[in-house]
Amino acid sequence: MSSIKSYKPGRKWFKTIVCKVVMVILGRAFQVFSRHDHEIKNEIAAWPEGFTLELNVLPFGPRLLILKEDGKIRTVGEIDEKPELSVNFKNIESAFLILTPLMGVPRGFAEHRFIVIGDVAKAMAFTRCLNRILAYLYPDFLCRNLMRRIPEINFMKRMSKRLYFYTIGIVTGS
Amino acid sequence: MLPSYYEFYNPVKIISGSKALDNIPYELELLNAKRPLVVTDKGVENAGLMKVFLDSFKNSGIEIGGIYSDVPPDSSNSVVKAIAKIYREKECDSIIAVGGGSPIDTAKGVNILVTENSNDLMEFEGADRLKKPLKPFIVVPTTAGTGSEATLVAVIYNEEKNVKMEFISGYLLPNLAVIDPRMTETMPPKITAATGMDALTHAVEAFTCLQKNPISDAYAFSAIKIISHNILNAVKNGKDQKARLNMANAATMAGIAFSNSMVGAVHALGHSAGAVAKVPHGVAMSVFLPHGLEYNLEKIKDSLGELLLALSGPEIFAATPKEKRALKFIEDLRRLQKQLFDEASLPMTLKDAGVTEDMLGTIATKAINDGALMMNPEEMSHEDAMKVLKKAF
Amino acid sequence: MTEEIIGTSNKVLEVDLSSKTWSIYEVSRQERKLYIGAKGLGLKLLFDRMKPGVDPLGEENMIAVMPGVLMGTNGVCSGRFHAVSKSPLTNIFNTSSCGGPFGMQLKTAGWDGLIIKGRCRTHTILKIDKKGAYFEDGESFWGLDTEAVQEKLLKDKKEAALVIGPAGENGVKFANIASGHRFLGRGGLGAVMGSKNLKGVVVKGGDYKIVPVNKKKFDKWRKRGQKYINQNEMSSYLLRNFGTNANLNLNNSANILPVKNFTSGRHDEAYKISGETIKDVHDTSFSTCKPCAILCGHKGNFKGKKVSVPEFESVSLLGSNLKIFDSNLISGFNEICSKMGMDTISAGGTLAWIMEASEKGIFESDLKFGSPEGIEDFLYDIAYSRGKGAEAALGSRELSRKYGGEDFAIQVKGMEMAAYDPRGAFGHGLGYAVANRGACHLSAYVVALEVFFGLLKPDSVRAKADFVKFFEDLTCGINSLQTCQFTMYSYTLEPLLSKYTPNFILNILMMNMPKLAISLIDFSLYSKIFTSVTGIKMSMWGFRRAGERIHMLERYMNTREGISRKDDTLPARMLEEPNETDKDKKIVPLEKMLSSYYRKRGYDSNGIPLKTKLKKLKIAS
Repeated sequence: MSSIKSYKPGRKWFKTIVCKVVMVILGRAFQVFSRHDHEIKNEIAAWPEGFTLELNVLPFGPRLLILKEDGKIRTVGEIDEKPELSVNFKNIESAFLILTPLMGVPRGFAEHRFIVIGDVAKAMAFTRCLNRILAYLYPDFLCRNLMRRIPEINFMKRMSKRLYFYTIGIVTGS
Repeated sequence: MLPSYYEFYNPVKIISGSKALDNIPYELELLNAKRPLVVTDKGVENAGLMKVFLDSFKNSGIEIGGIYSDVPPDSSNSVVKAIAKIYREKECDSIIAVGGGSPIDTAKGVNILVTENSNDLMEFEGADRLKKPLKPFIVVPTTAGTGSEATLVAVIYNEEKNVKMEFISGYLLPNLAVIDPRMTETMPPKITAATGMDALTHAVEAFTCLQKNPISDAYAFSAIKIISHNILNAVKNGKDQKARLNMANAATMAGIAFSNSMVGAVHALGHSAGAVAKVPHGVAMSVFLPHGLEYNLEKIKDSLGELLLALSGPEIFAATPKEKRALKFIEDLRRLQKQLFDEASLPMTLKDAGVTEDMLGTIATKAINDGALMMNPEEMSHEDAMKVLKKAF
Repeated sequence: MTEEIIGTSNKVLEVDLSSKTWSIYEVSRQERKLYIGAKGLGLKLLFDRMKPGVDPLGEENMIAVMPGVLMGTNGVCSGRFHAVSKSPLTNIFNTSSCGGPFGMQLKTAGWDGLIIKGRCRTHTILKIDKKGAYFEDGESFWGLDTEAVQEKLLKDKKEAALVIGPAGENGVKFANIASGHRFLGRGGLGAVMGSKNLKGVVVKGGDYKIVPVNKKKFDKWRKRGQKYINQNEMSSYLLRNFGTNANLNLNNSANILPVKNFTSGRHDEAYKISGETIKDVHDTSFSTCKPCAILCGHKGNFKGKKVSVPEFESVSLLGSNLKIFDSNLISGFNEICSKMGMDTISAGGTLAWIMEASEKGIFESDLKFGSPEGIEDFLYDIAYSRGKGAEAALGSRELSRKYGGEDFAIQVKGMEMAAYDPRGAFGHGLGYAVANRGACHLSAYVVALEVFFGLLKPDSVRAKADFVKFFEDLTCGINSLQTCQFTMYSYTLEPLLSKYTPNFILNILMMNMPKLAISLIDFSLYSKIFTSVTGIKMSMWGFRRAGERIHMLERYMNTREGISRKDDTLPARMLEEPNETDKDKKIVPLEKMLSSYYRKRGYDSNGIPLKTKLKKLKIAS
């Protein structure tokens, strides 16, 4: 006689925490580099005041919320209305792959790892920003896997901004 | 080579061949539908295709609930709403779209509204927002190009907000695609050439862009083979039923391929040229295809090289060394382009297609913000887009 | 065979239009040392020649057109010259700078300056070569636009012209003078030329080669200047790629972009007219003053034609300030202003006043914010002084005096304000209020420190008086040298000390110890260049002192025309209402800064230069 048991799946805490940490760093990095990098500034200039963007792991999070306020980008905890642009990872494994970063955004999108809700043009702008942010954060050998072409940034500038971010920027957020 | 992960979905039943239209009533019964609403446009009506279509219902016992034949060239929100209203008033239970991309996308929009019993398309904008199957939906393509009969996307223009709404859902796929050579045989040579190049572009981009997978590759490869064998015949002799049927099949296959593996830079540029300078989609595809492939060349050398077999046949494929195949493909493609220009005066440059030089900047700006670029194998900046555009000008 | 001029020729051609005669004035070494050249020397020459109270459009007004000591040496960014005259718009002295080809040809014809006096009885063209001046009938040129008249006038590559368009002929108070595609833009100098019945001045140059006294040193400083410019992000990246329009996004995010006659500081659509977007959409290429190392001037493809990309001030005053965000339309307005010969800032400011006044029902007009309809026709009406246009041709100060609504006439001393809202940059507000020629953004340009570089806190009054004074002095020096004012970023920020001190330390230092901070700024390149060209010894501090002297002289000349503390103010809108998009509801605390500024300048509490100070600066004995 077979016994029928219901199965209540648990949570993957380790990966959830890793994703959360990476999201916090990414959010900080976006906030910092959006004030230091002209190309990112220019992409953001086209976003309306009060624009919100989220990175979210379905179904329970973690989640990263980014807001444009006073002409600047900053990360926020919660907002009332629905974000205008959502990048939803279909599950925590997919999010882990892309955030850690073992897989780039184009590859991830090709493999249906996440879906985008909202204005596609802004999503394209966001991926261009992300490319630059990742180029500041990670060395070339990592970047090569993550993007189709590493943005051309002056070597000295890239190094000094990276140093700045990991020492001062990550703390002060500006 | 297998990608580390892929998805493929195509539940569309395809019936193709001589007198295929006459099976629609039987198929409708299988779908448990009795009163279809027909959505089409003036072009289809003027070409006399509606008569052929309606004749196929004679002796069938199916009553057509209504025929809407005023779909504008760009499917729009207000038209979708108007048709949904007719659908409800006439108590229809299914939808048949007859025509090219615009009637098909419009019908997809109507289907969302009538199934969800809503009046606001905005609620369903975006990816995977539909949660239940839609009403029975049949597509009769008349252009042999867009492949909309096999795609899960609908683009509808919202006049109030002046934006294009994009709907992506597996439920948008029709239940049935009917390919009947009679529906495409009245197409004039220039449009035949343009839609043929459109289908070719779908297939080539599906085969070379990032989301390629073995199943979509199979569809794309065959589509290219069929198109390269038939496009000139279909252009030269519109009454050639065999060539017409082949082209229509290839278009559907290309549609299935790119619906599952997406397109790239050529489409991004083409969409933008269409939006800014009203270049017809097929013409834009034809102009941009060789330039787009050239731009991506470094990244797609291998896959494009494989396609030489489909485009130019085994003799040329075997005679060309492996590393030169991609270049040879582009060369042969240019030759085909030139033949179509001679036969049907299909534009080869943007200038011929009515684009002026001051539009290029705007086109490039739009193109780099087009979602299709996401799946392009090579990154494209504004500067890159300008270079390609200037070459194509 | 071209002859050489070592250093400067020191010959100024004085032309009297009334008697159709000319003479030569020899500039002394002392004058050169005290007033350098260009703006400074021009002011000094007019100071010696004109008594107070002259009618700007009368026979007694004069125009001095002055290339500086750098012109012709092929120095970095040296392709600019100055004009000085009394302005019909503000009724006080006005200096204006231009990067057109006229300066170079005048200088290489052997002239260090040109003074135009008197008035012609009939429409005239003045021709100049190395031998002197000639007068030709200008009847057939009268009525032509600035482009057509230059095309018709110039036969030879070695010729260059100063011309006015219909606006100048018809006495539009903000008419400008064109040279090539560039303009002596502000203050209505075109109307002065028009009042003299002078349609154009053609000079044939290329006869002399200008050789610095110390060629080796000069080359060294030249190379260093080039290096600094290429290192600096502002000059080598932002200005070079996007032109002055690089400011637009910066201003928009800092909430200091004029929108709807300065009622808001930001707009969601502003990015559509930013330099970055214009570069992309209009496929721009370089078209600059010559010679130039920064390359901020561009041409772009607008509606199928290659035309000059409108400068930032034009884009915002004719665009965002009228709530128009279409670069093609703005380029169209800009082209009309260029051809008609009108200042875009004043034209835009006046249009904005008219739009707001008709919204409020105090002035009758069909012009509306956000609607391009009728603007083109109205610009023509202004240029030809037709109908309502004739009233608009007086500028926003006169309009508001006549109809009311002075609180939203965005002008200082009669000159319309440039495109930086002082409510988000207090130091820049002080700069507007005390600038000699009116609401001029270039007089001190502290907004660069406050907003672009983040070195001074924008919404604080701290240290602002010091920096406004310092930069006024420095720019007066630069404008007399004359080199491009945009070299200021690189020449002051790239020397080692300022380059390698972290920004937050610079910030603390500048905010709290402005005197010390200023004393540490290294701008010695300017004085070194001056010395190497002229052979006259001058230290960095001597250079600054010369700048201070020039600024003071202009102030002194203006106070003789009646300027005092009451005129050193800002429009009521800046002092009383916060702008709509500002959450902190800031207004400019001008009074707090003004007194401190007067003290530092050596003015009395009413804003009049102290006798002792004038004596110390060797302006008056």
